[in-house]
Amino acid sequence: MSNIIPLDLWGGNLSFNIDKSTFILNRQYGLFSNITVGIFGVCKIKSLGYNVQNIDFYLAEYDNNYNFYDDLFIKKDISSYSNELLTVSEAESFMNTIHPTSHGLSRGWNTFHKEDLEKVMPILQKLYYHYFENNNSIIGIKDFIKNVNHMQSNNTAFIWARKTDKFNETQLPSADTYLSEINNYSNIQHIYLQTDDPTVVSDFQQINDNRIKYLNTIPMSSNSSGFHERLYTISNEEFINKYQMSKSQYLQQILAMVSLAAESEYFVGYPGNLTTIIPMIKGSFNNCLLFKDDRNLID
Amino acid sequence: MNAIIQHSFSSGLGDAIVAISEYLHNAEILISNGYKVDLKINTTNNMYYKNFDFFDFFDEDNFKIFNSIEFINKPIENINGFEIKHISYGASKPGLHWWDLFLDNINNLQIEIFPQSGLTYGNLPLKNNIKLSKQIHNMYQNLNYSNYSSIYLRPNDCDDNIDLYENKINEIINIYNNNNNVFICSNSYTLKQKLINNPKTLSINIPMEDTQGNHIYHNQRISDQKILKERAMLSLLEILILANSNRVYFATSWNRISNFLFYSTINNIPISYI
Repeated sequence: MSNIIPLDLWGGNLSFNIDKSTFILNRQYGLFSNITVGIFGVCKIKSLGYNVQNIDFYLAEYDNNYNFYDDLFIKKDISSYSNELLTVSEAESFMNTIHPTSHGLSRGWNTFHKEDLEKVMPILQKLYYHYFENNNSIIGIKDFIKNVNHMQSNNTAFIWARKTDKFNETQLPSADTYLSEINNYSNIQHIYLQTDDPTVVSDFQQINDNRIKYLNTIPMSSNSSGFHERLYTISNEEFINKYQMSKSQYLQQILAMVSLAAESEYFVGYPGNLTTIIPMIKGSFNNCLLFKDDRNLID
Repeated sequence: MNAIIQHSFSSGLGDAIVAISEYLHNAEILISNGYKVDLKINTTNNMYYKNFDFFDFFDEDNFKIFNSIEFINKPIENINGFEIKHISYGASKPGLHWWDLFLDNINNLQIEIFPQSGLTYGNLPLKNNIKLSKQIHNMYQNLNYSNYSSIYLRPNDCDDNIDLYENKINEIINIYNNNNNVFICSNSYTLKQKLINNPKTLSINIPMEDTQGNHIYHNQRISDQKILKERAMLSLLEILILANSNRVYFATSWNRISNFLFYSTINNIPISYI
């Protein structure tokens, strides 16, 4: 019997090395797509009777042959508590309830039921914080961005907005729509804006609301594609020269921003994998607005 | 057992100080585990000037732990009989940035990589604190600065960002009201000019700063090696001035950690975000 089990999970080259207890995750798409597929894959491997000790996290969209895991996450030993982390029945329950979609872990490609995610939330959180907990570099970056921008948690809203490639997937909210939703909450004093889309910045600037602070933390897309798309076509050296940060540092900045988004009292986001990640980190769907086709998915 | 550290001096002076601190720290760990450590200083992509004397910048005493030190002008990507233990800056080949570690005996030895945590660097238990050269210290003594605070304003690379000044004007006025002397440091010449005429202002004039900036890609804009060296020495002097302040007040429009402040943090200078 081969010691490598191939896994067919939403594209790419995925497999499990039984001898090394290593899940090799090598596929394209964005960082959070790979995290959600990674969590699903851990469940799949458990259902086959194996525990995942290590994840080799190749992000083919960003680089052709580099394991980003150690640059982003804390590696934890599973050997002493594998059953506490995940039982076979939990893994099967998870897979029977939700799966990766274009708007995060959900039941169907065009449907979203928050009760599905709430049902598996304890499993999701356990696996996320075991396999994908931010390392100290990201915690430091998060603290830095928070301090240098004097960011607060109470009475704040965090908007994570994109257009670019998301136009192909769904109708996207306008800046006015984002703000009208936020204005339903009278206590919002600060609104933080995160985007990789320069048209989003200009849309919000035209509104001229002095509560809005654009957080200039990651490079902008220069066309209608998501910034991260096809980054494998440029070397890390070219990336550093162009953006004064490495590809790993870029991903660290993104993860730091996700932590900050989850710390804000209200989160307003576009439909994507953050639809799963942000409420999971917040521990609740309360005060999360997740738009799809101009309606809040959470309702 | 043998170890080779390659220091690739290819970005800013702050980055260089962090990289040196990190590999000095790890060299101590390697030596205490029985390794003989050689240092290769790769100046291929150095943006200051070529053929410089490294020890005009940094205190030579820090580097006496190494079995040998060699300056090279071509990056090392592999060494016969050695394996790569560490490459700085993620998905890169050796010799691009910061430092790399080659070992002839890869084992479970854990090297310690500093988190990219910017201003929390001061909490790191460094085994070997980098010191700037005696020349830089002499330059500082000759300034005769005392009892001052510093404002460090860091716009984007190559960005003379006046908005950063406008956005922080109230905080800057407050700092001037509460300090007898204020050292102004910025990679934006325009920002410095806004404060240069205030009688409380202390500042360093860096040659050609008005036309060529003072941060990166010096050697692409200035060909005079003497001026390039003077600019690098004065930038290091600025690092030392910041690191002797009562306090550094820091603002950036870039949301990126500035390693220019690393020397201040390892010298336990309090830093306030304005």
